Amino acid sequence: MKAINSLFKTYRKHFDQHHQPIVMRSQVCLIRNFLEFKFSDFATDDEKRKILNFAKICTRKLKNFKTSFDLTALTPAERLALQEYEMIGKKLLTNHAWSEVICGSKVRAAVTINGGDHLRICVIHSGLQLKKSLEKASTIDDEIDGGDYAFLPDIGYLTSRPCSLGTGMRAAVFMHLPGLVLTEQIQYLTNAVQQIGIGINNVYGDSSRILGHVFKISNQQTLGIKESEEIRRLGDVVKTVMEQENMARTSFLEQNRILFRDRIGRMYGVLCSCYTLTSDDALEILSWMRFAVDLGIFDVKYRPGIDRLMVEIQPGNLALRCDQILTEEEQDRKRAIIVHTFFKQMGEPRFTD
Amino acid sequence: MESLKCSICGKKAAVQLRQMVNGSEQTIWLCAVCARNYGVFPQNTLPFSVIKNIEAALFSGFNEKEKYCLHCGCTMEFFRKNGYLGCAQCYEDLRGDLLPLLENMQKFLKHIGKSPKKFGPIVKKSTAKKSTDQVSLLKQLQKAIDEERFEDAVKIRDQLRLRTKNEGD
Repeated sequence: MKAINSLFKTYRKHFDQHHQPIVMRSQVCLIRNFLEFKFSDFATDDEKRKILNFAKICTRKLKNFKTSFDLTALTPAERLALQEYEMIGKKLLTNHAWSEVICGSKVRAAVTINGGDHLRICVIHSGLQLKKSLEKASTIDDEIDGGDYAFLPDIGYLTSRPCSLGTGMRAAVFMHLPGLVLTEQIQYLTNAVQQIGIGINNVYGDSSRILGHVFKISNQQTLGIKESEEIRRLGDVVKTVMEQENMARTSFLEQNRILFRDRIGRMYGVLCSCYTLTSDDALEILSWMRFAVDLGIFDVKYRPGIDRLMVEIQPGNLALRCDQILTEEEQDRKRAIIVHTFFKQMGEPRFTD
Repeated sequence: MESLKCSICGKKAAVQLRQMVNGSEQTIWLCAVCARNYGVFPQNTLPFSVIKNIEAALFSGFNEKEKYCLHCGCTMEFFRKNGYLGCAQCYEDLRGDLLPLLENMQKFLKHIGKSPKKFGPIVKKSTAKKSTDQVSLLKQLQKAIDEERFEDAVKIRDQLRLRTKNEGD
């Protein structure tokens, strides 16, 4: 089996740990640069080659980080699949000269070299585990740290973009918020959250269209606040959003009890019998299914499977699974087959009333 | 086109000023320098206060061109256009211009979070206070990096760190 496939196989297992309603996963990224070199975006190809070689020496001490991928040597589908697993940024899909990603074998963690900044240490855990992610990222950071970091005592770690200056930390929690979207409260929440310096974006779809009800809630402040304090603040916001979401779900279900059950039943039918399934439809239906799992309509043990499917039905992962580039129609057909297998074993929805 | 030259000095014009005087429109073309030097923008006669902002933007652009990072050559103009800086040194060389932006972006301007285990000797701004021994090591380190002998670079770095530590003790 190719190294990248076995890596994804390990990552797929991570979905099973600490799954919970509403919160899908926590992510902490630390951005670091070396003092001696220009920032990756500004550097020429030759300089980037030097940065890469230097970074490789600094990162070879890392334990359990034995798999590394030269992004230029990977196929476009493999790069896309890595991005769908959030191990690399979107920018690296096109601009990947002299970039490499070193992946952890035990945790879902990666160190990206030359992706905008020299190093991006990214750790992801299922569920709300920001503290654990930060601790792991910080350990990796300490292992790499050889006194070569660009750092000034008064303004902290220097990053190519001043919005990360200071701690260089980008922490995010991915939340599944169908209740707030369906009761049309998401806009109020977005405004309220942004006012206290926390960002909120939908993960799928674009600015005008929310798909899959998945949102990324992330910190904006990196200067004048400790990492642990910012994580605590973000965690508090996430808990408040969870309370709001639970209230929104209750009020939605009170008003649309029959409609909701009917919709779940129909969507289950679609998942089990459709011949093709577009990415947009799949995300939408999977979101409703996760919602149904939270309410006990399906067994809770299938929740990680739905989270995993949300990644696996993306174009890059589909292409990787089939080992060839697929046309849009082939993708839709393949997607339908994958969801059939999963939902048939899941069994029919159990409505208690 | 004649109209695109400054009415005063004949250089390339940057500003077109239109004013309605007793019902007839007057158009004057000025280069940025003349517009400033001859005070064509007295505030009380301006038809639109917007011009004042345009003027500010125009001249701030002129000043910024002169400021650049001594290490990588990155300017504020480049930063405004692309949203990223060139190197760590930019934070020193362009600090005056970056501070107002940082104030908008961040709540506080003092880092209180994590620090690297130890600051490498190069982080310190002046090498003047260092012993000649350290300076020669620093040069060797830079040379090793330039020649991509990273294994050697790491060794030299460790030596440097040892000396700095000894000095500290």
